[in-house]
Amino acid sequence: MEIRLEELTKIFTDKNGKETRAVDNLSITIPSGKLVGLLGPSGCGKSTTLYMIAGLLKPSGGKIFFGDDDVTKLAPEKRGIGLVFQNYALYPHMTVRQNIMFPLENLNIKREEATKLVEEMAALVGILDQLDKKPSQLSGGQQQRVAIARALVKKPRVLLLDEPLSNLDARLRLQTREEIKRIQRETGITTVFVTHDQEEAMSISDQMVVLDYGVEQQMAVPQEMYNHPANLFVAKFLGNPPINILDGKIEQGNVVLSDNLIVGTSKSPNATVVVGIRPEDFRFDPQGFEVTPDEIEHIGRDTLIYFTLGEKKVRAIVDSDSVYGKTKIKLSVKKDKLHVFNPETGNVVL
Amino acid sequence: MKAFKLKLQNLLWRMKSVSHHSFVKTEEFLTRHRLGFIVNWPHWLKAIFYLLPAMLMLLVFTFYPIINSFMISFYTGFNIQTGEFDNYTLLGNYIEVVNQANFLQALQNTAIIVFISVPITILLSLFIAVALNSIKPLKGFYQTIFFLPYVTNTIAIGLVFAFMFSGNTNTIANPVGLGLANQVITWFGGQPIAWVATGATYWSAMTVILMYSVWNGLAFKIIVFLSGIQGIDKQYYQAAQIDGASRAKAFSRITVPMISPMIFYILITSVIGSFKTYSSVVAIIGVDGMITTGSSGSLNMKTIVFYIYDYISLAAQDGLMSLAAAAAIVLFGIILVFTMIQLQVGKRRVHY
Amino acid sequence: MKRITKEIRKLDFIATLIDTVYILFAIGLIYYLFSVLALPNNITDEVNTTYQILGSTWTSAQVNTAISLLVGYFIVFIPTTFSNWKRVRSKDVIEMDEWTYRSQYLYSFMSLFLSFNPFSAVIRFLNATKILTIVQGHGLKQSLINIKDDLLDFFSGRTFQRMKARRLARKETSESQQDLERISKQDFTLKVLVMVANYTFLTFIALFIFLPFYWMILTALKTNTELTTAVSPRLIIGLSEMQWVNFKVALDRFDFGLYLSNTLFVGLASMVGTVLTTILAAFAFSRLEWKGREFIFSILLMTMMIPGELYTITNYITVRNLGWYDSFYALIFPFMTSIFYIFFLRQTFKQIPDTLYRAARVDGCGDFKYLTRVMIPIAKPTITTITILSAIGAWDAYIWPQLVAPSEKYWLISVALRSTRFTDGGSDARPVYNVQLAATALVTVPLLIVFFSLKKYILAGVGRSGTKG
Repeated sequence: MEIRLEELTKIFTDKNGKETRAVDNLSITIPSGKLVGLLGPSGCGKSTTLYMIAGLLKPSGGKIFFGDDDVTKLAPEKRGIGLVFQNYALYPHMTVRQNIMFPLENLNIKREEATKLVEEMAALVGILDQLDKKPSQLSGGQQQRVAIARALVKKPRVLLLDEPLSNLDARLRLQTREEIKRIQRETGITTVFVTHDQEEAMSISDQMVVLDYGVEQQMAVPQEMYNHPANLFVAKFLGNPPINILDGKIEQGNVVLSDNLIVGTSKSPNATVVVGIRPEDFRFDPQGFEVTPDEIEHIGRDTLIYFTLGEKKVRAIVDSDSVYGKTKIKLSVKKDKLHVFNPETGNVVL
Repeated sequence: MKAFKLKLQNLLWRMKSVSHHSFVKTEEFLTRHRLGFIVNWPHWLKAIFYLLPAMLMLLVFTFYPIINSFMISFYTGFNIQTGEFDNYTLLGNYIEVVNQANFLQALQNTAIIVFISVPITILLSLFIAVALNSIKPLKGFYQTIFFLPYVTNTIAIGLVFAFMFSGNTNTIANPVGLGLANQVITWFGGQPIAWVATGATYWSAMTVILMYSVWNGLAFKIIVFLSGIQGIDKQYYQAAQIDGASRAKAFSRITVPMISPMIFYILITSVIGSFKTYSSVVAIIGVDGMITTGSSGSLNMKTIVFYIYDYISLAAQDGLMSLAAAAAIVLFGIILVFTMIQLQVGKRRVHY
Repeated sequence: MKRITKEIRKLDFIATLIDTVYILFAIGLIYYLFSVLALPNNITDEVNTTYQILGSTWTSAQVNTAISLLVGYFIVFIPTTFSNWKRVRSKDVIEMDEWTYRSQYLYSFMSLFLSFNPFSAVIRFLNATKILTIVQGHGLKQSLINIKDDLLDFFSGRTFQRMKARRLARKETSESQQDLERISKQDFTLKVLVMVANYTFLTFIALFIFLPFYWMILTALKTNTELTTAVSPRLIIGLSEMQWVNFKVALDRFDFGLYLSNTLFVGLASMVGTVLTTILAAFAFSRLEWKGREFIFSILLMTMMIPGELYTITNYITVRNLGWYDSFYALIFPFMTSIFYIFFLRQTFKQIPDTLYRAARVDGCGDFKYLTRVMIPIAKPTITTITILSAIGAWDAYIWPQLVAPSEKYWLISVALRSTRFTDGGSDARPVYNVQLAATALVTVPLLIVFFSLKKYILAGVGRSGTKG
């Protein structure tokens, strides 16, 4: 089931009359059967978008389509969605089995069939042996699986997850990440999830959408977005350690940084630009430019080199073997790994 | 057995499913024919539907009486049979009420009860709650005993109190044995007193009433304070301990401020409730609220509410209902004033 | 292991069953004895006749003693049997530690000597031994041998020698260690002093609170002559002197059955009405969103401050106008809706997180269904408290019922208590205290029983009502 958002907008007015555009003319299409992540910093409108898709918030403008159906005015229970809340929202006074069965009570199916569905779903998420416990007796990860089972049991067209991993500890996060991906693969259901953790989004999404202040920044396959960020915001948001941002200019086809350092080429006309270089895109090059490192850290396989370039501090990660024992540090930027941006708009310059 | 249970569950499920589904179908049908408004009620209409039973009761038995009482108090000569008034007088009833000696006596009685029993009860229950909180064995036992007065009948135990404080003479003419209180007094070598019987003094009777008010009032307050104290994070006390604070200091600087919202709530409700004392006096003194002090005089131990009820029961006589209404409104005014004062004081001293 | 556990449970069940049979038998016995008691001709008279029971002659004193013993038996054994039943019926894993078998031994002794129930005694003894074997790993014989060894140690001074050796060893430790020990000892004594002070204080207050109850029952069991002639009242009376007949006299004059059924009816009716209106109203004020919600709620809160007497006046007139005077309607309807309960329940409803509501919406759940399937079960403790308190309210009501339903057939229990005259036939109609207090006890005791069984809910609920002020 494909989800299409057309010019979706949400404006919040506080009691003083001030307006905040939480979501601003968002137009994206989420392809059917894919796992898509809505990514962005806090307050960028991703949860708002999710709740509008769910139908719990009414949009101020724009339309939402599930396939060919316009569901913009439809109540949540009629849209055929499953929603997993950030704090799971399980009914505390019901057992796991009753929790999962609750959505089925409103469908016209027999009880035996409902019970079978419940067990099928419990097996899918892996809590078949916890069915008669109450939520308070389960761990966080188990509770989340119950929430997922409850969302999926009515075979919805769309599965929505609100920050599914933020309540879990680090180890559980990795495990659950894989679980979500596996479940989505097995059911083939169109899934949208919201997160502020870029590593998480990059690891499991089929596609990612980055939002900032309600505006879409880029939508692409994760690795594509990482390698070719459409603007400065996306470039800065992805990547750990973060990308190095330096001032520079394009002069006669060369990308020049301060101190007249040439780091690469560009086909664009002369202009003042902002240059982004990821730490791992530096490499040791005897023909490169020499740097005086402020600090060098050897961490096993990688070596971190901190140096200053025209008043900006730069972080570089190079292969340890290549720098080991070398007295002079000479670096260059890997080919095609230069990101050049327009200083006013932030968009990428080719 | 199990099969039956299963059948029952299936049946219930079926019923729920069918009813929900028919509802959904009708809703769709109506919406399609533009009659959706029948089932899709706007929020405020839904709210009214839920509020209806409560509001109905409240309107008739709470809001209307308030207005009506005001109205009655502004007229004289309310005739209960015909529901008609004689005259319109704005403050005439009020003036008459305030001038009556009985009312002033009732005012004094009530004031004494409020200003003495409420502070004593609150302080005592606070200490008890702190003491209860610091013991573990037998805590439940003590808790149960302390809560007993709450679930018992005010009148019933009041009678017992009256009996415990009875009798000081044992002559042929007045063959009533010594009550428990007098017994204790004689143990300590004192003279037995007539507490509430004939020949009692004002303060002896008042002491009994005060004691009973305290006895009755402890239960609820102890429980509220106890649950409040239990809710205070232990870390505050641990920090105080490290800083070398004594127990008394910990109490006054940590415990009291942290439960000050509760103390405030209890204070306001106790004062309001204490102003309305009635049943205790009935239980101890009697239905007429007066004690004969020998051949001539009698002690008036009535409270304001007592006074009001006197007038209500004599309502067959013209005009007394208006006086009762006026008196009730005066009482309301007094309560309102004190509550306002407390709210003002509380703004500064209560921490949330 | 499982087999033994099953055996233990079965034995527990059988023992409890036998206990219950004994209790039922005792109830029948006490009922019979009570009905045999002779009523005095005059309310102030003392009764001292002989009774023919089972072919032998019993004096009043003996009958009194018998009843007293039976009452004591009930007080001890009915609660324990209840808790035994709860343990037998519970599906949880039974705990087995020292306390389990010790208490089983205790029960066995109690069954044998206090209630003459050899069957239960034997069964529990066996059970206790079984549990002992499981817990301690050795049988009864070994335990007895252990106890004997410990006693021998104690008496032969070996225990003392061991303690002395330990003390000497401690003295060898360094100076600072001794200082620390001294300080900790001081702390310890301080703690003990504080604890003693605490308990003394609490015990005094507990006595103060409990005194009226004790005095009530005590006086109800005395003879009238004693009350009027004794120079100083006694604090304890003997088992044979307990005048249970006073209760019978009280029942005779005090139509307990009628008043009880009246009070129960009014209590249940107002409880149902209160709970229904409160739940619906609290739902409207907490979950539903509508304009002016907070405003109207604040107005409602303000009315809590108004003295009830203000309402009484007009309500009295209204009741008369509606023709409800002297009927049950007047007793039930006017005070059915309590703003206090609505406020209390609204607080609880508000604590249910919003996300739960949204999750339910997504699951296709409407407002009413959410109320019944989710909110009410979650708020069950509060609702239970409200139910209990509103039912109890009818028990305590005096002012309003007496005002609007004065005829005797509508009397509630407090009204009846105050109005029934337990006076002697004399010219000055002095109240006969022992009978009056017997009636008072009859009124109070059922409520106490209700309280003891439900006290968990009541205490928790009342405590919570104060937390949000």
